[in-house]
Amino acid sequence: MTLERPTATTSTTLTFAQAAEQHLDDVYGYLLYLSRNRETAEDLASATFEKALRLWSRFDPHRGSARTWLLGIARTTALDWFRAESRRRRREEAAAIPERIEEAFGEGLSPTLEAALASLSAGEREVIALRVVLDLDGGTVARVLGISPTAVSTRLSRALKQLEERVTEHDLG
Amino acid sequence: MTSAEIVHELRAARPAAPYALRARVEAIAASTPAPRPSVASRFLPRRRALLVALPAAAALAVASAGVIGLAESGRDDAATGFRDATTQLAESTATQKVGAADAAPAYGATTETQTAPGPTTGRKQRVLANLTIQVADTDALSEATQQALQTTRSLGGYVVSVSYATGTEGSAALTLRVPTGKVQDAITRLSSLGTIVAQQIQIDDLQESIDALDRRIANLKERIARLTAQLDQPGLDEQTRLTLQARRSAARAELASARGDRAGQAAEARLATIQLALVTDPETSTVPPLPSRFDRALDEAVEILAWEATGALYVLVLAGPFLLIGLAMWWGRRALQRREDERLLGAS
Repeated sequence: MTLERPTATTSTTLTFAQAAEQHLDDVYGYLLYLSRNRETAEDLASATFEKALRLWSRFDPHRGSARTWLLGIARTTALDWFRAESRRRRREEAAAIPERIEEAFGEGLSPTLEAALASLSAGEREVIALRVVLDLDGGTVARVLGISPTAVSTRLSRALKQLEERVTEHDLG
Repeated sequence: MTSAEIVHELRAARPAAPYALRARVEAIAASTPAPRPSVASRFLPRRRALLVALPAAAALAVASAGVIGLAESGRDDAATGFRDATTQLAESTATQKVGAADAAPAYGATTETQTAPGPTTGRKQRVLANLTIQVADTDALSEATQQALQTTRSLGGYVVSVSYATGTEGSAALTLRVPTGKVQDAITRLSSLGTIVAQQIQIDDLQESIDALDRRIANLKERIARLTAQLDQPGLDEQTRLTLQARRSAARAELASARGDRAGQAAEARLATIQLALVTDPETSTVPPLPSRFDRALDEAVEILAWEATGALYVLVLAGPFLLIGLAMWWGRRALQRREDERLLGAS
């Protein structure tokens, strides 16, 4: 279990620009895992920070870190996008050629693992992104997702198990 | 590939924001000065503020009830010139025969040459008196009780309550009301029913309070007359008319309240209250002592707290169902939204 990276400044002196600079990678990575599309992740990240700037006066450092707060806003932004996407798909004809989603989780992943990740649901990728890739503790992930820490553990172990099985299937296949 | 290897590979390939996105976010951060987190949220988060505010509000309610209770109990006390007229005599344990020349009179007891302090003529005062009279036996008790009732009625008063009990010993507790101007006469005649065991007289001056109410009533009448004259003027626009009417209604309501207060105090001043205990054995006196100022302040404070609690309960009863419905709707909407989000994330 690795330690969470310490923030560079105390919560009482943190400016918005500093928070954005420190946590941009985390927000982008999380959104990339959710959307599986680099362009979408970049757009969602921009939208997240625009919204965060408007809500910055409501940020309460006593209730959590800036990272947790930003990831919460990123999740809300991503869910809005998912809803819009869902409505768009329903409107399109069934015969329409489905848009090819570029599967991208960052450079350095093996094709097997990348394909296995792409086959997971967004909910499963989300918990892997927060807990494994960004290395947030269970309590923080629970706050971001709005569920209990126990539910986070359950989802994570299920997702990792799924991932392992699909990687194994791919290797065997 | 094991889970550990998967985790290791995932962490090693942690995504980094591309340069273009970094530039965009820097531009966003620099575009408008970010509103600073509010001072209140920095020093007193919302939940902690609530935890502090609720007990503070309760303490304020209790403190204000206490202060008002103290003020109300003190307001009725006589003003400087009349504080000397307010007597709260210590309960006298020495018995004394009325009219006995040799006996040293107990303070305030009625003798041929001494009379109990009485109300001041020309001023409105609340008079409360406690008398404990010892009679010879149960037969004398019955007779004394009847005489007390007759005395009260003959003076233009009335009997509020009578409690009569006989056995080995006997006692009777009477609450009588007589016109304030005749209270001294009443006490004298009641004292002659037997031997005075104990006597307490309390006089509270109400004149200042009633005078203040009279002035307030006069001011309010004047204000209402002015507002009526303004309303009778031609050419008033609708907004002004409505404003003046609202002010006049408020003044009328205040006038009604002031008149009610004044009538209540005048009624208190009109009739004195005498708590009379007739006993065959002095040890069985049933008359409770007169309440001290502290007792009165406590009573007032408790009454005010009761009013505050009643008001709060009233608001809760009225608003409660709506609050519950609102809460249920909010919670239901959150649960539905969460389920929808899970479905979206599960299907994507």
